[in-house]
Amino acid sequence: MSTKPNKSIFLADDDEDDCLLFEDALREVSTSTELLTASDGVELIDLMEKTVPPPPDVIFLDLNMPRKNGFECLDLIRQTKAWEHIPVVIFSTTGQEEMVRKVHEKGANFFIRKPGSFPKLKQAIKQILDIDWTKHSWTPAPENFYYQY
Amino acid sequence: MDKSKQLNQHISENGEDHPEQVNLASFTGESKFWNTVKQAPVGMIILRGEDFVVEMANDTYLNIVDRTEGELVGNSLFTGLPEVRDYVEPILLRVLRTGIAYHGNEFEVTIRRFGQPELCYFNFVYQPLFEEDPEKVSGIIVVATEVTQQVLSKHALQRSENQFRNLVTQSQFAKAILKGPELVISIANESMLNIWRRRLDEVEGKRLVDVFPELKGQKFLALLDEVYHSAQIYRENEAIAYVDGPGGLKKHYLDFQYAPIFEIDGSVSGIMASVNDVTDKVTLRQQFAETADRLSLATDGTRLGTWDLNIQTKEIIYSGRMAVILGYDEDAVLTHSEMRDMIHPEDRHTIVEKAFSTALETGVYYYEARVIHRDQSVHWVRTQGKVFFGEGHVPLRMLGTMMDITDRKESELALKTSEGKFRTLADSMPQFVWTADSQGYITYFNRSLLDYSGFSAEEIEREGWLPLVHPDDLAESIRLWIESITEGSEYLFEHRLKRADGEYRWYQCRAIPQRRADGTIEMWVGTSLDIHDSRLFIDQLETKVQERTQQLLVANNELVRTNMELAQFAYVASHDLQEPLRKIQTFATRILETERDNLSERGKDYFNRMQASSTRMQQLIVDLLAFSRANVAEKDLENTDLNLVLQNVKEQLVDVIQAGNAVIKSDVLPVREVIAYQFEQLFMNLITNALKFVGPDSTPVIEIRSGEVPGAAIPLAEADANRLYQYISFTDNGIGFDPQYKDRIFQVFQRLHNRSAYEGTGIGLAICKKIVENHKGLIDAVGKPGVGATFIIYLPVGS
Repeated sequence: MSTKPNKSIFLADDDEDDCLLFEDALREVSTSTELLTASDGVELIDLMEKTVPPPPDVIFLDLNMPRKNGFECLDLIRQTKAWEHIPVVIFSTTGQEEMVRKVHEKGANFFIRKPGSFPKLKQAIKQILDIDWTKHSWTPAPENFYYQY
Repeated sequence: MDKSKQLNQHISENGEDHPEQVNLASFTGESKFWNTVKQAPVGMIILRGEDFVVEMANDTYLNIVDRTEGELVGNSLFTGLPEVRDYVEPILLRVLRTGIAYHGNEFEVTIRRFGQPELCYFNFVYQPLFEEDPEKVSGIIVVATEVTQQVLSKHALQRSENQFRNLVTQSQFAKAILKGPELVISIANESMLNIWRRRLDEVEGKRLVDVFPELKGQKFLALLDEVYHSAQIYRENEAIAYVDGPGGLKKHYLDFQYAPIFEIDGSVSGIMASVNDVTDKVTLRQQFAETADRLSLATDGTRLGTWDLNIQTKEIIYSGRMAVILGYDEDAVLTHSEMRDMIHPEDRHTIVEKAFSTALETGVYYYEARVIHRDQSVHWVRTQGKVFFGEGHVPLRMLGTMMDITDRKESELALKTSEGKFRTLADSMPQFVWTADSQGYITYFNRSLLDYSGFSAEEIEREGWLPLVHPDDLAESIRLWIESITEGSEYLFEHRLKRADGEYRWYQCRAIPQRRADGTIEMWVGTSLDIHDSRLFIDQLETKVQERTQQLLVANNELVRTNMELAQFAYVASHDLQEPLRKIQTFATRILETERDNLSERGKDYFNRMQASSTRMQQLIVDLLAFSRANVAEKDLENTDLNLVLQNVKEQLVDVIQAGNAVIKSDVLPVREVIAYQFEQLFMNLITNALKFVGPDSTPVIEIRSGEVPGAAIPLAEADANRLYQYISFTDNGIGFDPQYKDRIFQVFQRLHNRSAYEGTGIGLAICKKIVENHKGLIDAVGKPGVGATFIIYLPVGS
């Protein structure tokens, strides 16, 4: 279900499997949502420089990537005037608390640990897509920040 | 003279007693009678008739009266000797009328002789002459002897005796004259009467012995008798005499002399006693003597011998004590040279004789020398004296004292010996030994300091030890030394001292104040110890320690790096290992979802088992990661309310709790400094554990208790008996465990149960133990199979 057609999502992940699964899950949750993927941070930034504006509705960002990792991308996005308001959801295999704390401090909006099952993946993507970012607090409290599935 | 006297006497006797026999008629022949008369040595004249016509005068008579026979014979006597008429006529007339002879004795008459009147004395007889008529005196025969000489002598004697008596009377010395063998007191002067305590009239004319009966039994009467008979003077001084008188018997000390008084003929007629009462003098002297005795007693008390040397004659008078000091009896008689011979040969010339000749110059005699007693023992004496000089600085006498100072000298020598020993000892020591006065100036230092510094003794005495000190250490050395002297505190400092060859070596210098009884500082005793080698050794040691510390630091850094690598590994493990695992799981669920209808039942079962295995592997990875993170020494201590931690854990486990109908009861837990996420993990693991090992057909009940317990009461060897602990215990009613496995359950990968019975990785309790130990606490487990288990956490209170 989508409340708003032609939603646009950017995904940066170097793992092809995860990209495939993400797309499959997204298609099952929403058919109208546009998905642009980048296989690392450099590609993501290139993509952003070419297509923004308009800005995507949300960026899913993996942390562990070659060339330019998720932390660097997050820093760049939050330091770039045109991008600073774009919601960023960290989408990572790890669930380490240091990492969670660190990205929260850097201005990420949510942290989702990659689920170990497809239904959970769909649930996570749906939950993010259902957020009305205009109403969402920019800096969620730490306890509401980490979604574990 | 003698003859005339005898005749005179003879005539006198005859005249008185037998006057009839003196009759001229009785002479045998007249001519012979005349011849005899004429030549008689006495003057004779015969007077006839009342006119006293001179019938005859012999030559002697004529000589006496200085007349010629012609002037007298045939005429009246008074014609020839008119000057005697007044004296003799009455007497002659009486003899003529009475016929009684008249004896004149020392009859004084003035006769003109040799042209001038002269006072003469005669002894004479006027003998009446009877002729035919015995009743009728016809004439008078005069026999006369001139005694003028005798009388004058006698008068002179008389006068001289009077003078003598006056002399005696007026003498200031007591004098008395005793007459005759009976010792009749003839005269005694005032002084004598004072001694006698008598008045003159009480004694004059009385026998000495009658006046002083107490003299019987004393020696004086015998002495007087002796003097009287021997005619020898007797003298005695300070004779003791007892004289009685008003006021009783009194003792006198008398200097006296008994001198015989001679008569003209040389016989002794009396004794003159001269007496000087020296009682006061003697008493005084005796008092002096007593005082002197006492003085001598006193000098004996101080063991002081006294002596008095006549320098001219070398005669020496000395006290008994002096003889004793020289090793003799008190009454031994010694000469000055004998005393000199007792001086130790080594001291005699160099000390004593030198001192003596000095004394003759300066007047002061002083020496300390050894004397050798007869028994060859050696004694120390000290002599002090003073010289008395005569005219022209001639030394006459020397007075002084002598004292035995052997004891003092021996202790002095002992002191010197011990000081000598000390010096020898100090000189033989490699350390520097020195003393300084209260002002800090060096007063003594041993040989080592000289040898080391190469300085002369004078240089060190003048400049002290500061020139030796290394310039870099000088200021602090001086500052501390002044501080010590000012405050009287011990000096202790390490500084470098320059050796003679210019090399500086490290010395530890220490000085301790020596105090007098009143606490003031008498001197400082210092030592300086060569610590160069040990200091170098310490330096080397320090260098070594630094090297080791450096190595340790490197090793530590290595360890830190290794730990970081480990953390990296943990990250990799959690990320990279989980990623493929997660994909296996995801794709497996995807197949089961999309291809469910195409799979056989067996295929579906295989997929389920694969999923279970991968889930388990994921859990293993998560637990390992947690364990490795508990290993990391993170010190994120914060004040944490453990009740909130527990609440958080219970919320996380709410599904499990509800599913099993579990009951969790808990006390109010403490608030304390902990690493919050570790305690969350701890509580999580323990409660999960309790919920997991639930017995068949039972509802899990977990009781969480808290309180304090002394370390001594904790049944664990690691517990500090002196500390107080907070405990938090988790008790369940589960399956419990066999106590023999108590230690095992806290080890990694140790499991007590088959995985099919109770799932788990065997890491949970190991993590618990690690977390508790991170907080310096202890964990214990008590279990009983079938009854339950209790896990107790002990955390130290304070710090």
